[in-house]
Amino acid sequence: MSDALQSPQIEEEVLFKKRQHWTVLLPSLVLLTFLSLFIITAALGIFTYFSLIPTHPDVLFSIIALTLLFTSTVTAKTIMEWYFHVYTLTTHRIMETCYSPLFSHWINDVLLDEVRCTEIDIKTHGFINQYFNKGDVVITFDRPTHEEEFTLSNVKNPQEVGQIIEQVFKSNNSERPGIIWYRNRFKAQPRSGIGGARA
Amino acid sequence: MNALKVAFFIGVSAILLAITIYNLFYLFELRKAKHHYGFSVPSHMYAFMHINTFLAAMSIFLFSLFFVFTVVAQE
Repeated sequence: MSDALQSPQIEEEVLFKKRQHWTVLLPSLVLLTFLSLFIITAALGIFTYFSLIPTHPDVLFSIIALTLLFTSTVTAKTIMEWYFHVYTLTTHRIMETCYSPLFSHWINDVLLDEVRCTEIDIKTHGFINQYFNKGDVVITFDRPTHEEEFTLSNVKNPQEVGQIIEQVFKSNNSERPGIIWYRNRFKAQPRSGIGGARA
Repeated sequence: MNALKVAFFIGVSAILLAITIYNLFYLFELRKAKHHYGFSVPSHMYAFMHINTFLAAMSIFLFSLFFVFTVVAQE
């Protein structure tokens, strides 16, 4: 995707593209690894204890092969789904694209010119999230969209993301001062430009 | 060779074949995603999926060989 989206009416610039933090992959990958190791170890132990390896080596082979193939396939699916889940912010829209090959594909697209943002909340819970500086950015709109909240979940550096989004809303609604309310919980220094940070 | 062993062979082969076909379709879908949706898949992810599909296909062959040389040969 190029950084400048051309359309007949307006020129749209991509400000950032973000995925969820890579640590969201860890629980499922660790669980899969331990599960496969447990199954293989248990099979080896049972076959050794009952001396089944000389008589039924094909069963042991099939258990190990199926476990490894299942693990690698599910691992690939998990990583691909994470990779294809992208939040994109442009000067005129915010978009969540989620694509799971063979299963689903959906795009949540909010036109920033058509909505008013009432609140941008940044949420970071827990030791691990604090350590890795990841959290949720929740944008609330004052008109009924198909979802009244747009959530960028588990993104890296949510404070900076929130600031960029706030500046985009301000620039898009500059003719309507006083309508936007922003709760800056982190009191960070204002940025020099809205295109300063990228994924 | 009794019916149980034949059923076991057919069952395991069918599961391995299903995994192979799933991986193959997944690869085609990734290629389609690259061309139609504009998602570019990194080369190492492609390589991982190719290896995974190849291993799944090879496991059918290996399992068949293993079955023939151990179970059938013993009888």
